Amino acid sequence: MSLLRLFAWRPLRRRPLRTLLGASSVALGVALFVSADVSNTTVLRAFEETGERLGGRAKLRVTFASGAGVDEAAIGRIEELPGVVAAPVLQRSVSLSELKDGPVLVLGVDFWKDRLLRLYDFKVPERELPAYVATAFRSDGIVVTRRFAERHGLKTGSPLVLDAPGGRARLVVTGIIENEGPARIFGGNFMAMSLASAQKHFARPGLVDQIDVAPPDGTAPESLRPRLAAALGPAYSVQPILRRSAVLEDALSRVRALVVVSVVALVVGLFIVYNSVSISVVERLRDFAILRSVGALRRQVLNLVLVEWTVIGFVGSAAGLAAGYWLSSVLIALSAKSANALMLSIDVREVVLTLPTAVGAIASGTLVSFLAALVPALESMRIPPAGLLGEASSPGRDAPRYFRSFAAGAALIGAASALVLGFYLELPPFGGLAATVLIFVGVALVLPQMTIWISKAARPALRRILRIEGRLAADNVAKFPARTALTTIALGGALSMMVASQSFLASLKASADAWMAEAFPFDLSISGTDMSTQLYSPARFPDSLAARAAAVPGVHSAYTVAMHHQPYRDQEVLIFAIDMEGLHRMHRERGITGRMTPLADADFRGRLVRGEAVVASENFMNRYGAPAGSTIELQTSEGPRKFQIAQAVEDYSWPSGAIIMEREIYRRLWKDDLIAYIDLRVEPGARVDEVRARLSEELKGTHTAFLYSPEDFRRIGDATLGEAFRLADVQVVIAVFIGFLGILNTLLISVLRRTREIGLLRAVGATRRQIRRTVMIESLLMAASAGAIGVAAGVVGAALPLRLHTVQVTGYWIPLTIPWTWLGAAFAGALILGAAASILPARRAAKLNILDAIAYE
Amino acid sequence: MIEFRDVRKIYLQGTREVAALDGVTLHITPGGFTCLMGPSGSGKSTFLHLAGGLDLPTSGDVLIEGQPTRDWNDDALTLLRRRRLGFVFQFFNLIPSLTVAENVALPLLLEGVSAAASDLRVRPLLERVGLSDRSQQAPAGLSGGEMQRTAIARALVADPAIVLADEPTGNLDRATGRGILEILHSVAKRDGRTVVIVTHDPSAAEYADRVVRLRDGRIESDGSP
Repeated sequence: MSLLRLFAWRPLRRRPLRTLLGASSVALGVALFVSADVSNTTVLRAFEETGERLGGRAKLRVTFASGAGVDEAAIGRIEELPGVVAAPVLQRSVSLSELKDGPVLVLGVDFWKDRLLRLYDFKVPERELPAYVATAFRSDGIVVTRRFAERHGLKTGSPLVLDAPGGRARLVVTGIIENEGPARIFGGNFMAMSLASAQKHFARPGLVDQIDVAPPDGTAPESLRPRLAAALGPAYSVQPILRRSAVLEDALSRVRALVVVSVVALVVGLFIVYNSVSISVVERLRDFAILRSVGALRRQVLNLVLVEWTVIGFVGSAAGLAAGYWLSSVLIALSAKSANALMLSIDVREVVLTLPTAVGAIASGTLVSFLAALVPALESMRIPPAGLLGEASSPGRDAPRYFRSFAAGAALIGAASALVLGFYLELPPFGGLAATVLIFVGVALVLPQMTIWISKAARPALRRILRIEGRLAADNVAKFPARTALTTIALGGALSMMVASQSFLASLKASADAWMAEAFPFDLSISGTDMSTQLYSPARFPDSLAARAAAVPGVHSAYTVAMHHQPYRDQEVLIFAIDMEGLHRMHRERGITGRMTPLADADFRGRLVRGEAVVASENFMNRYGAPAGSTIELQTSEGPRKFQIAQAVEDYSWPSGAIIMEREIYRRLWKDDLIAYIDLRVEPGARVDEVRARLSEELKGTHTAFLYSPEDFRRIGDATLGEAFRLADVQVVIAVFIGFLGILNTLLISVLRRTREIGLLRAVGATRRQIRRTVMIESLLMAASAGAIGVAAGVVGAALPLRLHTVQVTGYWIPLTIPWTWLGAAFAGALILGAAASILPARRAAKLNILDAIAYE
Repeated sequence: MIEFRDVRKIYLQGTREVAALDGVTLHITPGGFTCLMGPSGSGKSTFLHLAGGLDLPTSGDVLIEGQPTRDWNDDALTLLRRRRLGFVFQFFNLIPSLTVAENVALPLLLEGVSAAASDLRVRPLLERVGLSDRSQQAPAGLSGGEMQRTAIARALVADPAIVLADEPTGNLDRATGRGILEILHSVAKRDGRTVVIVTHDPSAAEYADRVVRLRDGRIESDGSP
């Protein structure tokens, strides 16, 4: 213990910056790992808990395979199965325009059936419950949660206005549920009403959205599922209640990508600790030699170093665990927001840090430190005490060569290229991320030898441009090429993530903008969805509203769009049912361009209008392997129907894929008269904002309607994409910071290793400024290389692995748009970071006492 | 040329003050070969560091070419070292990544002299110290004597008036050491530069015009060898 205190603790205290750098680099790696894992677990747990609270005892959900409403009569067939409990539900997420409290989930239920599945706590004695329920679930009544009521000062008898397809429904609060069961989800934004009342207000007479089913006690849901399916027939779909959607998977895939980043961050942390340990061992070689010469065993000295850095690793890991827990709350909010924007499904109540994650994070951080310390500690222990105590008079050795590492790295890059090519040739997919990791490791192996070559090639130019300082800086970066290479790859890797994410974002935005510019011929679109909280909601209007809107002065023409979530191959695709002739007229008036050209063909239009064909989004085609000309089968209210895909179009509406069809066909086959959008064109010469104001005025009395221009859609789309990519921003900031620490660490060590050389330079006439310039140029050389790698790898990453990964998850095949401004910013940012990282080491170098430096060993 | 006026240099050893130089007054005239001798801890190296502007006296004045070093800032002292002084160290202190020629040219390169111009200065110097054929070699491939000759060439490249050498033969065998002393002697006698060497080596006195012996930070004797 006293050995540790004398030879480990004291040196650590004497070098607080190095100790802090080592500990914080481990902490950052662990923080990223913890935040990614905790976010993933929490979002999944929240999804499950939300589903369980909402579903209660129900484990299966029966819907009509067409996605259209289920006939209430089906419940009788379900209840014929012994012991099965079933409850019909009409479910809508609605907005409350008067209360402005985000979307609220409203359940229309048959209370006495539903209470067998879900927990409703009214704080009413059981014998008084029938009377209470009779009032609470009366036709103009609505039941709210205690939290919602308290937030808005509502009491029994308070009026409440709900935005419904038939217009605003003026209801009365007739009951308050305590905060149990479904009342705990979405911050209390949950309401219930009688099924009949919901059918009336949401214009679904005689229909329910689903029948929730609880299996008999002791029966597994999976064993009930086939029996249920057999009893109901193929027109019905029976699914587990906790079925993950593509939207959720998309959000989770972004969180999971963080795990890969965190592994890279831990590798960089390992390298920083290795650097710190190496130099700390080199500094104390004489101490260790004295210890060895007075009888310390190799093992004792080895333990000294290992214990010291394992403890630092442990402390760093513990700090990383705390930081990661905090960071995960930010990531979770972003993930939940991006998933909920498309589908209200996640309500995060608490951040879930599991014991295995906590133990794993601390163990991996500590192990990384231990391993990083092991190599330099073992190396130093091999030197005999006499060698350590001797004077160093040799001027040093030539830089080592890394031909074998170069060859191995080149082979890995080749393998990664083959993997990427494999995607294009449609060989079995291994994941774009595997290619990314191979490229990362390959570049790391290739770079040391490249550093030597580049440094050699750049010396004359640097000597000419930056004089002797440039020449010395070029030599310095090549003196320890592996260290330089790892530093460069750490920052370059972080920058490449930034460039890749921004390239991809720019590509998505450019594609989405181009799509909207061509696909949206209208000046204004009326929707029931408040897109500041959700892109799609079940808010609908009656068909008649279109005629009212079209009659408003200044409106030239209108067409209607219905929207429907259609179950398809275990996913939900989006059906856009459009009045095709109306759409075509509006396109013709504006001038048909690009992807809308086929609409001009009367024969093509005719096939759509007659219901022989539909148009599919490209991601539908990619996800389900349904190219143009192929036939798909969709479940409708009249049973399964086949449609030929007339054309696949670029469309970014929905990550699971979209189908565009004639509205009249949809209305007939799905028995759905409601519309989601009314798209309008204003009279030539009329001002859009004036027409918009007149439409608002016309509709405000009866409906909550939101008016959007194509520009609004573009803005909302861009903002939503930006939100989805904010996760990437968080990881990039951390990764760039780790890269910055890497440069700082390398420069500090470089200055320390060259102390004597710097002393000599000062003795023969180098000014402090020249020494500072040398260190800064060294830093800028590394940073510029990192910037170049970041820009190149980022664009390649966006063009290949990231794009392929997106194809796998969403089916979107995005044409690459290179964000030149971001490329410039990444390169300039690298230089700024390099300059900033050099300040402290440069000052240290310039301030060295010449006599001490010359005497330094 | 170099003048010490009642110079004291105090170092702290823990909380104890130690006088490395204790009231030294000495005048070194141009063109001579002065040898500073004395046992370890007598203050020889401190004298050389003060004479080279690498350190400043605690009290008294060190004058180089008539100017007290304490009046000069760090940059001025640096430029003085670069342009008017040449240093030779016991452990050679060559930069391993530079060639022999580049090591020699270092003070000129720091001055911003072009490669071609510095080459004109470096070539005759390497010839003089017998290293013409080694100019493009890295220092790692040189013997100890060759490294020290490289260091001497570097000390002369800026055409300094004063050359200061700290134990220049301390790390060399006897025969090689004599060769180094002969070069330094010729630097004083042929070039007319002021050469001051600090040494333990008694044979160095044979080459000197003047031998100053230090003991406990004071001048014990000063005269001809």
